[in-house]
Amino acid sequence: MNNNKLNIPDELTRLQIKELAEDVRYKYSKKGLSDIFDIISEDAFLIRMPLKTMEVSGFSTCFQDELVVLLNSNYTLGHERYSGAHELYHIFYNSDIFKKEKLLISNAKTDEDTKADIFAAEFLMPEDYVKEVFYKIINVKPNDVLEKHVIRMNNAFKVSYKAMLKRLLQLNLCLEDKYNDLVAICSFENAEKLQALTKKEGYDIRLITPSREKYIPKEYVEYIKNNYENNKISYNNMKNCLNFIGLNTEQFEYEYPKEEEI
Amino acid sequence: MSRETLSKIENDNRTISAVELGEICSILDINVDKFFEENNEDDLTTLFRKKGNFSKETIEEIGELQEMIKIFINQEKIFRNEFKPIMRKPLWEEF
Repeated sequence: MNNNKLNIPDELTRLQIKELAEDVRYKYSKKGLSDIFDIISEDAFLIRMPLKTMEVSGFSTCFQDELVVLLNSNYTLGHERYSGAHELYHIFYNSDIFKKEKLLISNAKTDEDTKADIFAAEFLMPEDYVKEVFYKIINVKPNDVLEKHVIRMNNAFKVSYKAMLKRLLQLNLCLEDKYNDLVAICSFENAEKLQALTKKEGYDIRLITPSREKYIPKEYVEYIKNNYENNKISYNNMKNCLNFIGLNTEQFEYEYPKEEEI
Repeated sequence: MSRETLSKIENDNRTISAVELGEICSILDINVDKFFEENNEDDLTTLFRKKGNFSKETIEEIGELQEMIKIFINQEKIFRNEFKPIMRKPLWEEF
C-alpha cells in the first residue's frame, strides 16, 4: 500500500480513500456537523477519558449492541482528533470486521488501520482546502517551509503539528529533506520548544497538549439524573457515574440521603 | 446434598466446596469446567488480550472502563424502562 519509510500511501490508494472521506464529510455536513467529536457522537457512544495507560489512544467496539468509541484524552488534542477520524473510518467501513472481531484499536497496524489513517488525514485535512489555505497564508516554495508555517497550518486544521507536516509532504507542499528537519520539534524532548513557538505565533497550545477531557454524551447525564430523581437508581450509583465523568453531586444539588441504605 | 443446601448455594448464601461441585457435575453429567466458563463474547479485556501485547495495568484499566461503559449504557435502558437484569436460573434449568 505504501512504499516509503514515512508511510506515505501510494497515490491511487489515497485518491480512493479521499472519495470515501468526502462522502462521509458530505453526509455530516448536511446535518450541520463538522466537529469530529460531534460527528462520532451522532452514530456511536463516544467516551473521551484520560486513561492512565498510553498504550491505547483509542478504540471502537460493539457493546451490548451499542457502538462504542473511546478516545484517550491523555494524548494531545490534535492526536485525539486524529484518532477520532481514524475510528470514524472503522465505524463506516469495517462493520464486517466489527461483527467478527468486536474490537478495533487505533494503535494496531492492520491494512484497515493504514486505510483508517489515510482516511483521517483526508477527512481532517481535505486536499483542496489545505492547498488553498497554504497558498493563502503561507505561500512559500516546498523547500522554504518553516516550523512557524506548519504551526499556522496545524492550527487552521486543528490537527497535530506532525500530522500537518506529513500532510504537507504528501501534497508536495514540503520537501522530504525539509520534513526531516521540521519533524524534530515534535519530539517529546522538544515539547516545550513547540509550545513556545506556537504561543509566539499567537495560538493557544490546546492542540499540542492533552485535554484530559472527561466526556460522555450529554443525554447520558440526563439519564443518570432522571433515573436518580425517579428513584430508579441509588444515590451511590448516581454519584459514581457522575464522578467518573468529572461531575459531582453538589453541582446538581443532590444531597446524601439519610434514609437510604447504601 | 440437601435441597436446603442447594438452595443456599444457588442464592449465593453459601459457598460450594470442590467435592460438592464435583457431585453436582456428576449428577448433571457435565464437566466441571462448564462452571468456570465466562461469557467472554463481549468482554473487552479478553478482546484486548487477543489483540496484542498490552500490559497488565492496561488490561486492568480496560476492565474498569468496561464496567463503567456497562453502567452508562444501562442508564439509558433504565431510563427507558427497558433494563432487564439477568437473573440466574436454577441449575436444573440452566443445563
